[in-house]
Amino acid sequence: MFLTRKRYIKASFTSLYRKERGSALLGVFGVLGVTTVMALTVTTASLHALGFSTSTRAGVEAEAAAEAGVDFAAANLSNSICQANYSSNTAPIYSVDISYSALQTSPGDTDNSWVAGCPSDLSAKRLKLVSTGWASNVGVAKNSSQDVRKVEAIYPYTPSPPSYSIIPSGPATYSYAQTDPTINNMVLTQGGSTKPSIVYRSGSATCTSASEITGDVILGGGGLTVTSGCTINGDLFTSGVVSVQSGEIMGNVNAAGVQGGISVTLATPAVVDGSVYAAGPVSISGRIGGNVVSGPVSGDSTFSNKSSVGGSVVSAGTVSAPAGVIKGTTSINRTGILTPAIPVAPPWVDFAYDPAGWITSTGSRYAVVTMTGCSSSNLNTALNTAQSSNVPIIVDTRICGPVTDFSHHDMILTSDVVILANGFNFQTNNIQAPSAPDKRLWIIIPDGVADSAPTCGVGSSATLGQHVEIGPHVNTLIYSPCAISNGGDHLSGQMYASSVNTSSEFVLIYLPIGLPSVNLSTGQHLAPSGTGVLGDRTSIRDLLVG
Amino acid sequence: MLTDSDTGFVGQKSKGFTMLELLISSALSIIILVIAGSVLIAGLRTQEASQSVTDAANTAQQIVRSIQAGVKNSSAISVSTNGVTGAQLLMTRTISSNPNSSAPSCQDWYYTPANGGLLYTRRTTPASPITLPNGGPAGIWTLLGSGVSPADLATGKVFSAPSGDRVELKFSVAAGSHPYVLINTMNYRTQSTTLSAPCF
Repeated sequence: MFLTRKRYIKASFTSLYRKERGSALLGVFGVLGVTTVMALTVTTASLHALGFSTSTRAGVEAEAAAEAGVDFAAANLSNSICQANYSSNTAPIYSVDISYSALQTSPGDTDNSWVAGCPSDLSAKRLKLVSTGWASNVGVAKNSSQDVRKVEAIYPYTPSPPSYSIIPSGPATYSYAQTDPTINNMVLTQGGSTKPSIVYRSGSATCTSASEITGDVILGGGGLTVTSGCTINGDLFTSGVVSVQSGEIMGNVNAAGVQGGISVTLATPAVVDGSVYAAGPVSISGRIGGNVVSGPVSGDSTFSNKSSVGGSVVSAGTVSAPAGVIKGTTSINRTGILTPAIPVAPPWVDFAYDPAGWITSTGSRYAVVTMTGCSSSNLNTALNTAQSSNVPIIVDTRICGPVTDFSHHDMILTSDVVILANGFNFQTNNIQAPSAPDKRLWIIIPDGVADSAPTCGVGSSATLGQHVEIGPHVNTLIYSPCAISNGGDHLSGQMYASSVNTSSEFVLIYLPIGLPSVNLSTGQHLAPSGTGVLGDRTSIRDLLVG
Repeated sequence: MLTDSDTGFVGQKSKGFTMLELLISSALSIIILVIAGSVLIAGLRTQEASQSVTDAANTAQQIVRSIQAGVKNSSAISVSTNGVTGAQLLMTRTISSNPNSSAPSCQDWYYTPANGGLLYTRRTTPASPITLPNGGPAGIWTLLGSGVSPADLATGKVFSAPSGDRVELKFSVAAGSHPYVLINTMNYRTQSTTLSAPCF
């Protein structure tokens, strides 16, 4: 039966074969062939186009990723420690390699000065960022040429100094909150190349007899009264009002305050050699060499017949002046006058004592002498050790309680010295160095409370009594969160305190000293090592990949 | 081997086809041929359309890539237009993409409406000014694509560099009898300094 069935099937096929004697099958094959060729052609063309398009898309993605890498690295380099490589494994996918050059500009078309990695010292002048970007959606059909792109960007770069650096910074005298307004018999002169200034973050001042201030006076939260014999050889900036009864201000007067309808008062024979910029009306009986700008607060500005204005007067209100008093033009009821801009008095810097923060330029720590008792003999021994030290040294006298009494201790320094105390009393001291180069002396009452305000310990005080002479060849910085009582001294350097009493004769030759890790001019701590300032990008280009 | 007895055809006679059978088979054949022919013609048209459009798209993308790469690294861009012929010359001074060299090159792109719209490019390294040969760029410059025409009929321009720091491309590439491929894109140069010498 099986054989019979097999034969039947065979016979059926043979019969079918014999019946197909026309061209139908050939036609089918022909059509099949032609359509196959067409299908292949269309498929090939489509694949090619798809490959080209996806390749273009991949190029755009890779380029964007590479540029994103440059921006990411640049942003991080601006505010954090340099890394030799920045990368991202998720879209945008990139890897940025950093190199640096000590040359300010490229020497030509070929620049071999690049060193891979982050700058290891302060010599770096430029940073090069080479960012490789990868497409998230790669090209298909073997079109991978655009999957990776490289972008090179070059920036000028200024590495930050080591965080323990001591930057000469800060004004001649800085008061966080001046309690005693009197500036009397004070002579402030410029000892170096930096112009001195007196900065009160808050508090007013009255400058009186025989005071001669070389530099600017900035009162961030107060006004100034000037009486006879006071000369300010610089500009005056006050957030309050200014009243000059006599004396002379050789620069400009900028007063942002208005009180009782008056911003600036000049009596006879007060002199302002520069211009007066007042937030409101002025009352002038003195002499002004420059212009007077009064506003935006309007009102009547008065000029007596004893006054004189070398320039013009511009006022938001009216002006009452006898003829001939104002040499230039007079413009009244003016709009658009801005309140005079007062420089920002920097915030208080809390400076705690950390021996690790006192590092020499060669990287070694300052020597430390810590007193274990507070007898006069102990103090003598410690100070003698300090003055004979050949390396910078710290003398920690804080064991002496709220106040360490340094009276009648003279010193001849042979190296930089740091004196730490919870409070101090100097009286009849002569501290000097035998010759140049000048030595630095820091007298510090540490402020370990990080609240951006001075914190004076219970019972502590800071006194500079009479006959305190610091210098020649010794420049000092006195840092005190306690108010400094000043009894008439002579020193070169600067004072940074909660408040500085200057009611007695006081001669200060300004030389900025500074403190480790902080910038007293800005009130900010220094950036950590390894950071730097990235300038505006000078070059960016696509690179060949390969 | 099969024999007639195996196949079961022993004793049967072939009597031929009747007229009706021939008519029916002919009609069926014609119908099948018409259907097959239609399919073939449609396929051929699809193939031709696909080929034309993809060719045009590839040409357009190739032109864009070329200009994009040149403009991106350029330190100066300028476009001059012949108001009579409509021909345009896009000139750049571009920085090398060699990681070890920043040597400049001059690279230009020339568009002419002649011969259906042709777009050429030429680059000189070291940088030296590129001038258009008297006889035209054919055979001397590199042909990037044909069938190119301005897409912005109001200006009639393929390139424009309105502020000198970017190139706007508005052109179409013909795809035979099919809708053209339109390109409308903008490429910025990223070099911060502007320096065109010695290219233009």
